[in-house]
Amino acid sequence: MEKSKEYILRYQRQIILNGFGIVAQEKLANAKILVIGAGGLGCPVLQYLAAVGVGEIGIVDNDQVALSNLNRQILFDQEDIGKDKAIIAAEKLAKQNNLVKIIAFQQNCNQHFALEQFPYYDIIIDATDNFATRYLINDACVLLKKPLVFGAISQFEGQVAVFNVLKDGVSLNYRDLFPVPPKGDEVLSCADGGVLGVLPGMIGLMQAMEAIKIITGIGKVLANELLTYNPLTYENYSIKMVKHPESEKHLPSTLEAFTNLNYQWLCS
Amino acid sequence: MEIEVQFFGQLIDKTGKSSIQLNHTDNLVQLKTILFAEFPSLQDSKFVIAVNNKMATYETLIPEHAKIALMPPFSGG
Repeated sequence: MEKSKEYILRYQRQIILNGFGIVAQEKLANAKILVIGAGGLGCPVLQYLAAVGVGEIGIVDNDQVALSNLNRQILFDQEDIGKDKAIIAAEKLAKQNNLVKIIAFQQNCNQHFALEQFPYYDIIIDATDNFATRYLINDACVLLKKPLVFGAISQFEGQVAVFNVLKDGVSLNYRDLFPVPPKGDEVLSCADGGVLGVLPGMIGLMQAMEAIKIITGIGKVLANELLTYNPLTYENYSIKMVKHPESEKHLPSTLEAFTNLNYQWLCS
Repeated sequence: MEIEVQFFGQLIDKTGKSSIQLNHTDNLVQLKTILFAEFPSLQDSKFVIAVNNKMATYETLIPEHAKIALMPPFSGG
């Protein structure tokens, strides 16, 4: 399909990039990505996926904007306080790039939502902030065979990984690292442990980069690999994953088992 | 023949260390026994163990001068 002058000019700096080009740009334009969470990780992911021209982006978040979000959730400003995050994010992204389609889901990602919406998208991005949702997303992606770009932060460190992508004949998921979630009070949330605004920005951008690599084929995807990054020192630690002997035992093996699993209880 | 064990995330708060040196030990079971004895709070913690940047399983043998990592799950976002 012939692209408009506007399209060519908007993405010109990417199109002329060696190793990228109009072919990679077209792949982005034809891609559909679902971002679950419009918070610290979600905001930078969404901003850059919209900017580079991912054709269709879904945003899932049930929260409203709070003042304490504004040190890091950079899609929002003080006039958005109290408003629905997914809806405001979608409005701002649509203004940012009128060539991409943005859909807001102002709701939680539960099993019903996952089974209904995940199949439509090419890539799922986990930008959430709690284990119950993370395990739900992981299990849905395994069952529905969707690539999952995982990102998470803890104080000054962040983790990024790509799951459910076949590499060297193996496709692994989050339960191959942590077959069962930690207990409810075992791990700090951002509210309890704190977070410097820049950190989720960096990790979110790494997630966006992984999604772009998967879609366009450039670079080396972090498939079956957990990268932990500490921007205080720029030290990073990479873990090459293998199949965990207990991951299958804890994964729901059918859609029905998935639907019946109580993720809130599992992570409490 | 020492091995280095590096802690990440909240394991640094729980152990009070970012890394320690230990005498070489052959396998994960022995390593865990030593670590749990020195840092009892690790027993209740979830983490994945990597040996020289590769995820370890029960069969993994620990080579000399290995660099070990104890990596907990992060959930923030």
